Amino acid sequence: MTRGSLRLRLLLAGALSILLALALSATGLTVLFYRHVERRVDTELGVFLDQIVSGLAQNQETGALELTRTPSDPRFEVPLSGLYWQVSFDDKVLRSRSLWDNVLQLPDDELAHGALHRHVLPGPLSEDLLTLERSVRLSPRAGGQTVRVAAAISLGDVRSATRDFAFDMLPYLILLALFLIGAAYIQVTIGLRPLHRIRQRLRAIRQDPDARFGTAGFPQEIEPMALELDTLLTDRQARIEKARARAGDLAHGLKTPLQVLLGDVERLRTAGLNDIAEDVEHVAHTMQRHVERELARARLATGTGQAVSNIREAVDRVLSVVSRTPAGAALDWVLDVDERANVVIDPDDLAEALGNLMENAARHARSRVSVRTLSEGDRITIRIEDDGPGIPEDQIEKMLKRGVRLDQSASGTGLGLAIVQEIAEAWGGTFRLCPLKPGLAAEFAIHAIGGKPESGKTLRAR
Amino acid sequence: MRILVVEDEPRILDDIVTTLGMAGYVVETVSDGEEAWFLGDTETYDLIILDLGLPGLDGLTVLKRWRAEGRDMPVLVLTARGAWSERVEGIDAGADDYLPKPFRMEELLARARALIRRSAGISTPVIEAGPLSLDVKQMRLTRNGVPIALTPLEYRLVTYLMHHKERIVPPTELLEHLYGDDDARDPNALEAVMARLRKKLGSGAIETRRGFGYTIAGDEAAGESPR
Repeated sequence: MTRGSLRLRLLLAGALSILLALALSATGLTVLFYRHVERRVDTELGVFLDQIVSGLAQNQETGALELTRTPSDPRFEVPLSGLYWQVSFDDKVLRSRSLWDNVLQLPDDELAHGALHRHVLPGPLSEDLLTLERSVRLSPRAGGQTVRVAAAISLGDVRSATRDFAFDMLPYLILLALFLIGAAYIQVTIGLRPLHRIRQRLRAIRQDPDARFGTAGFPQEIEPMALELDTLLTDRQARIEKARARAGDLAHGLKTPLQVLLGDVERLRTAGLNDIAEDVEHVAHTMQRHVERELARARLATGTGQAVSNIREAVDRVLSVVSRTPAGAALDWVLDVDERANVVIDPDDLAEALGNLMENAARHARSRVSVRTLSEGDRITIRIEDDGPGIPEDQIEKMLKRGVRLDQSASGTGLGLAIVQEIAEAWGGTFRLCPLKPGLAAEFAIHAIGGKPESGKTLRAR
Repeated sequence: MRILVVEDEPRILDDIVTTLGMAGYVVETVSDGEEAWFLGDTETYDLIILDLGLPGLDGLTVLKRWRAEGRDMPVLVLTARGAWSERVEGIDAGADDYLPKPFRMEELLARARALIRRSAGISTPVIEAGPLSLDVKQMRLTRNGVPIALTPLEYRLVTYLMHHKERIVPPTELLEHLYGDDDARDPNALEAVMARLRKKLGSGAIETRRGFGYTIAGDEAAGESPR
């Protein structure tokens, strides 16, 4: 999966939102838990306050105010236990044993009678204390003064309880996250399956232009697209067929008059008008080259879609033609072609390139032509060697230079090579000629299909 | 040697007929697909030169029908459609060779000769029989290296016998390939030509197997055939 992968993007987005949602709910739950505990603590402190207030009475002997009944919680008796009470009036302070000789530093705000106040104050161990405070005017029987009664509890307990809650929750959250991400993965995989199927069908179509997507096996949402693509493919193929037919008609229309013209050349020669014959012949040949070149281009322009050809099949077919010509029949043909070598090129274009190269080799060879395939990386090179007189190196460069070969090659073979060059370029391949001692090697390199053989039909006759 | 040329463009047809005629072949012509199919199916030719773009029945269909009916004469296909995929299609349909237009007449002649020779099972351009040696390209017959002057009719007769030197050729077949379809086929005329030829080549050069036909022996020492 790369950065451009749809599956990766969907999975990342899914995982991210799942993690975010879980983090949010973890925070929310913790806050709720804290509030809940806080409320419980508040209620408890309120109960303590009530107990303290009801326990306040004047000492019969001294007349001093004192607490006749201390709240029942044993933590009030343990020094620095975290639970404290304190009663302050005039300049005196009554306090729980747990406070030892510390004093709760209550803020000096004016308290309305009976109102409850909540503070967070520093405690004797400088921890935070949640403090509930109330101002009470005592009944005349109890002395009639105004006293401030406070009960406090250390927040540390509350906080650690919350922390424990969060830690207890964590494994469940992780489990939930894993489960949800797994579910997202399965969802994405199932959701993207039609795309995989489209890719498979496309590959089949590339190998067999008559194949179509069809609607079978596609979900409702993809079906219209498959139908549209099928219509497009059918339309495209019809256009290609039409263009090819038109190119063929053009060929017939132009070549028959050219044949007549060549006949006239012979008649002129017979009549002894050699100069005129030569002129007409030259013109006819120039016209022929243009016609051939334009025809090759027309065929090529219609064929630059996706296509697959099997080299062995193409070589065998072309050889069945070349070996019947007088030049080809007398030669020893040596084939070393990988039967599984499939390349990205229209079968007709491959046949055209091989035909030109093999016919050329047959025309110049002395006794032997070899055709072999060499695999280099993602390319396959078709190498055609003959043992003829060859071409000097400086001439090769000239022949393959664009434009030069067209009008300066006397034999007409230059045109064939120019067509081969154009076919190679149209399919992203390369073409070159190398001199041998003796002879000439032509190398036509083209992209291989995935480096491994693919099943199914490949080359078709048209 | 009898050749059928199927071509609908009259000027090209003329050129082909002239070229083949000058090379010593008996040429018949037809410019319509239906008729071509009929002739190829009923007559025997040493070669058929078939243009693919024909009115009526197209050339490829004609060719496929011949082959489907078991007619195995050599067929040289002419066509304006010279793409290699189309050539392959032509060969697959049963053509023996494929010549894209426009072509030079010498090329046509070379291919025609090669096809006729190949269908007779001969692989060299010069055919030998005893002291006789026939160079089809030069249209020249030599006996022990000495050239022999022949009339066109004599040349045709020798050429046909040389191409079929392994077997006995019946007189009817010889007449057909010597005169074509149009001329009167007179066995007496054949006898006359044969007599003249024996005078030029030596009496033992051509043997007569009575009741069967003729065969070329080439060798004078083979002696006279029983009369």
